[in-house]
Amino acid sequence: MNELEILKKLAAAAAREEVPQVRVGSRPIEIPTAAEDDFSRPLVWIAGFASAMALPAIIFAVYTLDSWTDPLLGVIDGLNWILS
Amino acid sequence: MVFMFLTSGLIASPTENTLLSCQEIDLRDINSCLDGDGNAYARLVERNQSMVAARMWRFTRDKTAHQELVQEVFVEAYLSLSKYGAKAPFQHWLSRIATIVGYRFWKYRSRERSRSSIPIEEELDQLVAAEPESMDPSVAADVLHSLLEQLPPRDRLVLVLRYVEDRSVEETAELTGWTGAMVKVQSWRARKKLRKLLQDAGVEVE
Repeated sequence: MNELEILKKLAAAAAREEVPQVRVGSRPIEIPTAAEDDFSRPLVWIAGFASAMALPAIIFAVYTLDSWTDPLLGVIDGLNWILS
Repeated sequence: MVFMFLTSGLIASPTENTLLSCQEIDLRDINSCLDGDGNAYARLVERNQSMVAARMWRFTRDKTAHQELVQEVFVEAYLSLSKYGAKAPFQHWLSRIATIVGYRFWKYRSRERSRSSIPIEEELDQLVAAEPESMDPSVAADVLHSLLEQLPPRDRLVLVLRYVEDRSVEETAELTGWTGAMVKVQSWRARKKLRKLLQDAGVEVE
């Protein structure tokens, strides 16, 4: 008898063995996914709101920085206002 | 698209009819699951858990590890469900995931411990002399598992797929992701190692 015949003989006998039944809980897969959705949904809104608020702040910051770094602009603006 | 193709296909025999129906149902549940139906995956699990349990029982004899492996297969399948292209039946796809999970388990276990020194000689001698019908299935499965456990995971995998599960070279290649030539070479090497293992255990091998 060669090694394959031995292997197949054992496999044939082992095939009659009853496999333990497993009850897979599919709920744990679904629940974390649903929980993730519930958890991430408010975060998406907060992130959107924060982005919307950040945009005018950035524009204002750039404008202010320009005024600070170029004081002549402020003087010219003042003169324009007086002349007008 | 595939679903429509399957439903419009000709049904030749009752067996094929049943097979097509299973595929249709699986595809419908996969689509529902991807659309957010939480119960669709539960139905897929329910239909396939026996098949996966039987498959994973080849990878471990420990009931707790077995349960974890089956669970892991379904979690992995769930996470990559969107990648299922319906090119093959869902069971084949699931079977491939099961093979990968099982093989990874063997690799992890083989790294964790050195080669086992399970005493197989006594039982093996007695079993080899007996007919398969007269063997106790659990003892035969235990011995088979202990015997293969002493081989490296790659050899073990190819022997299980090719000779224990009696799969063709093509099927083995599909499940493992190896080429056909690689499966043949690996089988040849694994057989050689198995022969040596049996000889070392005092079994007469031709």
